[in-house]
Amino acid sequence: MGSIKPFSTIYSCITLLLLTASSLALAELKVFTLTLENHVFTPQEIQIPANQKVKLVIENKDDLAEEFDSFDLNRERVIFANKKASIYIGPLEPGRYEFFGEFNPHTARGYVVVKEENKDD
Amino acid sequence: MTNIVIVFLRDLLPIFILICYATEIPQHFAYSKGKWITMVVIGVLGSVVIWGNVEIFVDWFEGAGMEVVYTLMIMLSYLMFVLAWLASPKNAKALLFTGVALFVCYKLTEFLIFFEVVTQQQVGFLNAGLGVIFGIGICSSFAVLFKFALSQIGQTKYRYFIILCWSMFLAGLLSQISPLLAQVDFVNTGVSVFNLSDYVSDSSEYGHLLNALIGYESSPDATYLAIYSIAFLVSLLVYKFRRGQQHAVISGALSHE
Repeated sequence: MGSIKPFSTIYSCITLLLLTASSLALAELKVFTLTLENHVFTPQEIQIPANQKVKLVIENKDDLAEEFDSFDLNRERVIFANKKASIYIGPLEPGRYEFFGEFNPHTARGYVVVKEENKDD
Repeated sequence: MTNIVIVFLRDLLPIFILICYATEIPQHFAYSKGKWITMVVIGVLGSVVIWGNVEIFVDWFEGAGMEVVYTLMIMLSYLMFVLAWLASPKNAKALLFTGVALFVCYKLTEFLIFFEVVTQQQVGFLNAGLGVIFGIGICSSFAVLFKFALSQIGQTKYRYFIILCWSMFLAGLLSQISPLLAQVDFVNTGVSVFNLSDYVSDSSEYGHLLNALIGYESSPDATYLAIYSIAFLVSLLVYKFRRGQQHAVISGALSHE
């Protein structure tokens, strides 16, 4: 009783390292938010920095599910009614990347604009 | 309605293509029609179960539940199809049975989620009905032509081409895990290695068709290409190994005589 179990110690150390590494990675990650209401994305254009991975949080305020879809970004994810979902995008080269709601493609549309970050900013 | 047709091409055409391959690679898919129907029905039931509980699965793994479920289905399906070349006939049937059921389950779940929302929309039901008719028409017409082309090739000395296409189909299946896992930050992907969207864009009908046939992506990243290449080579090598074994058995039998 009271003896140190080597495997549980190693496991705890690994878990701690992984948690630290992931929290450091998350700390550097920029988060952008999109809202879907009445089958329209707001804002319809978001600017993100080039060559960086970013997190996109999409909140669906409609009573129907929607699928965030983008051929340019190679992403598709269902966001259920009145729920939030996160998508990680990038690193991307500068340019305009279109996205749309697969279930309402005529109204739910927008762009991710990727720009080189100004070092003075 | 156009959207429904596109979704048919994306989600259901691969099932039609799988059935075409299955009937043209008989040594691999030696099944009666009854077994085929059972496999597809199990896949359909599986997709209905997942679709019915999709909001529960979504919350797993901190919101990455569906990506994990899809990835597992894709990986298992690929493994079953490839390992079936190496297994004994009895085990091969069990592996293929599971592979087809998982494949149908994966593809149909995505379709059911889409279809549920479309039919809930006010003007959706008529459009959905027309879209389904057109979708089934396009998929079945393509399947008939594709099966005809495969059977013609199968009668020539270029039969090996079918195995090449089948391996590309499997590679396209497995490489779908790359964007799935990248979007929930389970893997890192770099920038696109090349961009062919000026020639065939992913959003075009040809893009969807090529994606269903060989896993075409107009601007793939390095992770996608790596998974695709490995999956393609493994499938081909396993087939070659199995052929080598068969030749060795035949040569051995002839030398005994």
